[in-house]
Amino acid sequence: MGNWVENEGLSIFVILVWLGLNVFLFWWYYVVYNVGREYSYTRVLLGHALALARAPAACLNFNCMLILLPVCRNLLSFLRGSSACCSTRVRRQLDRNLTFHKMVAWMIALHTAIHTIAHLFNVEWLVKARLGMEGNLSYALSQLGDKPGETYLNFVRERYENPAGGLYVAFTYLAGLTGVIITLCFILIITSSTKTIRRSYFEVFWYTHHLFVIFFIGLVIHGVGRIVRRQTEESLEVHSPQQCTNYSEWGSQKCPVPQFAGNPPMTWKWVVAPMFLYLCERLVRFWRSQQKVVITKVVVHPFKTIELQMMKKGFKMEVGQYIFVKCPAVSRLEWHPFTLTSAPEEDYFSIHVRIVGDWTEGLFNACGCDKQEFQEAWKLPKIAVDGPFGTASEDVFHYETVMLVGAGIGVTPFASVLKSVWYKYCHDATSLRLKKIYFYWLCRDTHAFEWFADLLQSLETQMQERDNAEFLSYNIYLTGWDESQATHFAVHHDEKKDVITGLTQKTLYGRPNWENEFKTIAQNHAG
Amino acid sequence: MRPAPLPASVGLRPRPRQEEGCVRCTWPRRGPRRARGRVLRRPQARPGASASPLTPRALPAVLVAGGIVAVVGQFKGWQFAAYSIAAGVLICLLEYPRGRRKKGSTMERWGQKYLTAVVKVFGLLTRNYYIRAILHAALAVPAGFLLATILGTACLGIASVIYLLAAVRGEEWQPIEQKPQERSQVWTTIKQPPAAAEGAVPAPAPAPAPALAE
Repeated sequence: MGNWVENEGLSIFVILVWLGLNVFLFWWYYVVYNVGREYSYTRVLLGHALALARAPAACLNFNCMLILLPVCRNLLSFLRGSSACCSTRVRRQLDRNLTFHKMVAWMIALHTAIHTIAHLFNVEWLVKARLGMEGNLSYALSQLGDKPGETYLNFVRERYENPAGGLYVAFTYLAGLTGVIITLCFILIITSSTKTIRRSYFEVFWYTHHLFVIFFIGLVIHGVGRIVRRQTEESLEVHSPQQCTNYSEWGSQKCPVPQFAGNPPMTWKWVVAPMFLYLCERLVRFWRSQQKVVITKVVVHPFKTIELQMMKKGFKMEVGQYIFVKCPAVSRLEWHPFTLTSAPEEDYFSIHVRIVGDWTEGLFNACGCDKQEFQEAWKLPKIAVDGPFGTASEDVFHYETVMLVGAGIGVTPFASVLKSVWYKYCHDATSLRLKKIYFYWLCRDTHAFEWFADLLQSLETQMQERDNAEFLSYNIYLTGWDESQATHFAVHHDEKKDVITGLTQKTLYGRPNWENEFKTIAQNHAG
Repeated sequence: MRPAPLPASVGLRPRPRQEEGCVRCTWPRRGPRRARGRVLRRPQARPGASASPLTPRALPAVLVAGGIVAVVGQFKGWQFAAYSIAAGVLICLLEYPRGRRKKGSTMERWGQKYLTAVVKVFGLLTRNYYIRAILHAALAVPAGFLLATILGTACLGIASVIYLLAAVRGEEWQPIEQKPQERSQVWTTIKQPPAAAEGAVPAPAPAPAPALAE
């Protein structure tokens, strides 16, 4: 429990603050519209549906302001860099940007649903009130604005019966039209963002998501029509809704005809800054993509993995970060993230790419990996790189004993970490605070990570040459073994090198027993 | 001074597998991992892949939601809304069983097999995507008469277009059939040592202990 609080406490706090603000905004605007004097007559026409439409609208303003910020990755990198004084735990919250983006999106969906349903009732009742019977306060209020010098309360001025009346309102008034369009855009964005579609049809997800541009434009002009009406302050001074209850007496000196005005649009005040920041973000991405990136080497590894070594002027990275890569020869609009596998000490930066889809296959072919002979350097495709992003793992250098655990594809950042450790060790072992590394690698099979096994082997040899074989202790756990493999390694159990990896330390099978591992390490390194 | 770069073995050139009598070269090549009789492989994006997952289940749900609002609120013309609820539920049930991809494997939705059996019964009517496109478009029209369900109309219209595009590309709905459990017996042999079968050659007698070397 203590560990959970340590790890997740700050994230939970952020989420609670965000939820709290949502609840506060909802409650505050609900009270304003449900209790406020200036909306007394509006409530006669609409009842609670007025407040139930305006409260989620306020939450929508708040959440639409927030939704753009987590996807400004260059801005987040800037914040990460400039908050170097804060602990890694604080900076690591910035790595959870996409989770926050999704949570805000779901909150927008919830509030859109409440807002839309409430407005459906509002439109139905307003259209009905316009056609109402004489002798009814709603009808009397709806007639206001017909005579010259009057201002209207009921924004529906035409007299059409429902359901045609409702459809007419939705498609001729700006608020209705923009509302329908942006809700449809939002539904399409959300439904095309499911995991299945992101994994298997990334282009559909990416291009459909750009409907957010229409969403935001529609959102900003949604309130321009000023259809949410309230009694003006001047009118309230001379006409009290609580006292002037007999509408047939309106127009006298005691109760002049009430005057109304529409609320000005507020949304633009909330979203203009994030929209500007996002625009800057896209410009920065575009500018970065125009920077020259040179592929210095392409290496084909076994089992459909290629390594791209690249150089870019002014590129600075830390261990464990990732970059976004675009290859215009394959697709002019797609950016894909890859973990950096080189160390900051090297004069190039590299990524290892596994070929599992049409973009990576396109990259494979563009780099000439399908051909047997050497490729000329000028034939290599142009690449654009954005980044690096991600909270670095530089904490590893602050402790004497570290335990690194990587599972499956998550082992990739450790290539960078281990290489950097090796370089620092070679450069000046005494200045390195790190004395012992326990490295755990869990994977179903090592086929996709043969290149990583090579790295471990090289490090093992280097350590042995320097008489410090104990510096790095690694444990590889293969969780996907079957009967034929079991037989094979039972037969070769006594051999000096492991049959799978070729390393001195033997591969283990199944999952590690963490209790034992932690206990042993704690005993060996007290304090 | 910059430290020496890591040696060439660290992935700087393709590494031939020549270790220790090429043990790794003789390693049996593993196929896709099988678990509980189902082939699990991450579906890969490729042109011509099935468009069926692109018709999200949420689209008919919008129709149902709009219908419920109008019925509960007793809006004028609520009968169209009642129809919308029924049409939306029907489409949801029709779309729930995921179709089988032409290439690769497909993950089933939870509890899908019961509905697959029902959808299969209608044969061409549910298999053919042209018919599905027409069905979606036709069901969408009556919902267009009510504001509460107009979004549902738009959503079904989009679903109809998606099916039309898929139909033009020659796709159709194929049920995901459960494959028979082939390997269930294999695991039992690990726990139990092989017992000598009748008529099998008996194990050779242990060799006499070698004479001690001088």
